Amino acid sequence: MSAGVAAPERSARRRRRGALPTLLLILAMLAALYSVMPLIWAAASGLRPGTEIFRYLSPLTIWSLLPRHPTLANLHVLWSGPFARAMTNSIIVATVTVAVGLLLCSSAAFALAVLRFPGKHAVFAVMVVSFLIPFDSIAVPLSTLFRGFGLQNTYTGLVLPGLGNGLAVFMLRQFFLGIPRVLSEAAMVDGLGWWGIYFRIYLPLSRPALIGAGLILFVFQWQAFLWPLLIAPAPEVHVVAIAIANFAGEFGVDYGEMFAATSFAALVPMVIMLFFQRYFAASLATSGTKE
Amino acid sequence: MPLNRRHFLVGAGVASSGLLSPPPARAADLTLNFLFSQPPDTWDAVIAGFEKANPTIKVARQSVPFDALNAAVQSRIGQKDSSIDVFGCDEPRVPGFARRGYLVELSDMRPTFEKAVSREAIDAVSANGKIWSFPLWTSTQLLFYNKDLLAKASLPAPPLDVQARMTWTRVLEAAHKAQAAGAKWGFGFDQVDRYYQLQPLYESNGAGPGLTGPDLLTPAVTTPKWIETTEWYGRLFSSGLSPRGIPPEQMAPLFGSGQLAYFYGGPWQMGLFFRTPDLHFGIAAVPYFAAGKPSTPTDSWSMAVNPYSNNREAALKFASFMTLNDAGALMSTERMTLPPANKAAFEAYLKRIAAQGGAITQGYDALVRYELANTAVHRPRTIGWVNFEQIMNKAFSDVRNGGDAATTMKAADEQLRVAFSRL
Amino acid sequence: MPDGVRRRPAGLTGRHREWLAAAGFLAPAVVAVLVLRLWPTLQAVMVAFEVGPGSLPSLANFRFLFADPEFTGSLATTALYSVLVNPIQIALALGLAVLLNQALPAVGLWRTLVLLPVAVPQAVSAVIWGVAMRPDGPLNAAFQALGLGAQPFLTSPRQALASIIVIVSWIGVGYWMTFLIAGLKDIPTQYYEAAAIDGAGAWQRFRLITLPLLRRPLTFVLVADTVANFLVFAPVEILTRGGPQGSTNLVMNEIYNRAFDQGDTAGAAAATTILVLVVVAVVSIQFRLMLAKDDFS
Repeated sequence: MSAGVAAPERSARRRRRGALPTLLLILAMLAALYSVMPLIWAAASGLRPGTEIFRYLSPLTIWSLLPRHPTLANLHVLWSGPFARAMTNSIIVATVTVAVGLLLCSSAAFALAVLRFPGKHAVFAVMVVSFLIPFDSIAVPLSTLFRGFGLQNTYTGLVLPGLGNGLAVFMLRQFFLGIPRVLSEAAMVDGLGWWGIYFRIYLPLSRPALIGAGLILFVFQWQAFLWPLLIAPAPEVHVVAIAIANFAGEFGVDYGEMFAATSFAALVPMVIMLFFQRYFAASLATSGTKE
Repeated sequence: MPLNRRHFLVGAGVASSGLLSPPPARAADLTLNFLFSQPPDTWDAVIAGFEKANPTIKVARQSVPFDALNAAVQSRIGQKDSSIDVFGCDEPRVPGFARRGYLVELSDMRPTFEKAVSREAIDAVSANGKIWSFPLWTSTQLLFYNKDLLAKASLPAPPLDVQARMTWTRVLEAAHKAQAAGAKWGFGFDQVDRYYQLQPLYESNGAGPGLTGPDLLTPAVTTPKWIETTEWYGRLFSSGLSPRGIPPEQMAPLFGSGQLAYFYGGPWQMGLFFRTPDLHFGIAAVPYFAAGKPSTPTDSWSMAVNPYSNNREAALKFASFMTLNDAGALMSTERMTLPPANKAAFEAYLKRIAAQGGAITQGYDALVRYELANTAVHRPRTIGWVNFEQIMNKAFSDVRNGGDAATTMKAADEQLRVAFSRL
Repeated sequence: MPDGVRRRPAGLTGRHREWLAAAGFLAPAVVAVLVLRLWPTLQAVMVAFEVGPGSLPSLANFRFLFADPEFTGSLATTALYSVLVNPIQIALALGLAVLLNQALPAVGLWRTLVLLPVAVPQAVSAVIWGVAMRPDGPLNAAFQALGLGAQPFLTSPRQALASIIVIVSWIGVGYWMTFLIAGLKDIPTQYYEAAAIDGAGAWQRFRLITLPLLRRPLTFVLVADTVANFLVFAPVEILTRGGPQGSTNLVMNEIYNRAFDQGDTAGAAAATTILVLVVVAVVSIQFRLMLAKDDFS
């Protein structure tokens, strides 16, 4: 690891250019603030009574952000209503999709990046084309197929389309291509089979890429709307995106409840993402063999 | 940490739990699937009442967000899905859905219909002389006004009495005055940019509904009267009387937050306004163009039976209970305070509103009765309804945002012709 | 292996073993893609050539689309949108990736917050930004406080598309940044140190070390972002419905309307086919430009 060696150099540099790290930190904080400000407003609005939400938009005062008459009424409705169930459903569906999907996609990516066989380029092309197709355009024929198999209103029906993600396969393949072949060749010398090479060499080296692929799979499910609409309309299997959209009724929108629900819906991924950030902390450079 | 086989097995286990089906129902039980877009608790009373009267039938709810209901119906029934038995059908869509075979024909129930619901309600769910769905609710509109903002401008309250209703000129004059005296906005529509809301303007001004011809498939949005009314609409916003850029769902909260003097909206907004602590509001009859006659929008939801359902009889029973049965129809208005189409339930509904609303809703029942019987205009019953509504709504939105009325309507006319040629 | 003295365990000798292994690794994903993506796509594409019951397949739907100014307008709008949004998002993502790759205090938190918008359902993000961009909303309040005039944002044909770009970028830039950070992490710090010793400045190091070594992740982000932007429609559907005056009528919005509002499945299928062909063409060009021969080994 080069970090230790560079540390004294880095602090020397920091002393020479004292202002830069502070400037960079400010920039980083500004970027984070820009990203999170609308969500802070939404979270604050979740604590407002519905009639207050649009009252303080302009001119800007402290009440534009802070609730003037904070109330927990929206949260009450959320947790006694169908939203809690929807959160559970979404978490289950997303977790299963990521777990099974990572295995599926990484093994395919491994084959495409490492193994040699005829038709490799054709299969790769097929994977790429698959994520060029707007999923919403094929949702209807796909839902008919699933209904035929009795997968309506089941977790399986929700999970399956999220598993074979061409984008994740593409990304993992790109990454695997960068892992030196000498590693697998050396492993073969030691008697490891292809599955062993995949499991014990490629996967452990691919942590950030796996997290990236996991992110792709997760986002697909967390953002899915049309598919759950078609295949899981029973309230017991509603997912978060549908539950939140249900606050938008025909004659008016329950904005307070919608924003409170959104804040909770964003909390779960936020905690997960925070947790996985530490895997981005270490560099992957396997010094000596990486070109 | 690296993935291992254990993770895989856990994942597979959880995934396969989804394949487990719910416990089988009792042998004699039948489950109806009911698809709708209202909040699920809207139907609590109705479903409880129906299941009590029919112990062998259970009703399973499937809800989709409002904006997505038509998409869901088109996709599923369009693919002959039998997993929907009863579904909500917006009344103007009845001709289009009937043509596509999404509805069960009900003409042989006509005598029952005529006993239970008004003639207007039957018209609303008919196409080509045949009845296609069960009318559930109807609608009308009110002119809401903010008493405090009017008082600041020393304006008199607009009359609730339909015979004394104000003209548009008078209302806009008053709205300008209220704005000058401190109201942020003078006037606003509930469902801005929507044909449902704006059709009465055109009808009242003598411009017609925008469609003509035997099947109402010939656009008529470029006539002088139509352009004149459209320009009037655009001026509401270019003059600063009414706000731009606020979607329909945020217009009622605008009135609720005390920033709007006059609000033309649906009676269902009363619930929200009653809940707003410092809002002092009143209701009045909606305005009209002096050159024409008063017009109000109407119609709402109906209940339809899926022709591909496997439980047609039970589905018909449930749909009739909600609409043609007096008690059932009244139950359907418990959460959603729209006037029911059922005649007897309508009377009971008005009594209930009068009891709940107190002083503010005095005279409301006379108003509703009058509007529904005399000034209500149905949306055009045509198979091209969906295209028409979509294109017109976009056109209205463009005009609201400053587009020129004549150019916009000419473009809409062309788009309508292209769209209709496809039907 | 030329000399058969050392016996390998079964499974490693001969090419056909490699094919078998490949089949094993690929089977689940390939089946998933074939059944869950390609087969319904084929079905959808076939619908595009339908004209009516009992008629022969024809190009009538395509002819209709290309004769419809709404549709051709949406193609043009989408092209304009694409040309603008992709460079902006990638530049931002790259800049943020470089910034948040530094060893700053609490950098994990900053990265998470920048990534967070992608976890919010797009419909809600659209609603929140719609409120912010209301002519009487907080953005204009801030602008006016700063002395800039109030802007029409989504109500003006000149600003609406730019407003959509702002919203979509807010949602997605953190997502793309994350992939680029993973790519940056892969560049050995020795290179930078060596360059610094050789006297290379920060911009030179970026141009001569970072960019070339970031080629694969950058290609991935470029392709994936381009595709994602071709498929944008939720903010348009909720906020502008393609207006004002068609200035935000992206092609996916057209497809969605045709399919689900108008029930014109054939037209929607034809439009989807056209969209997919365009996307395939664009992505092929991007691949050709960005990837070297060894990426196809």
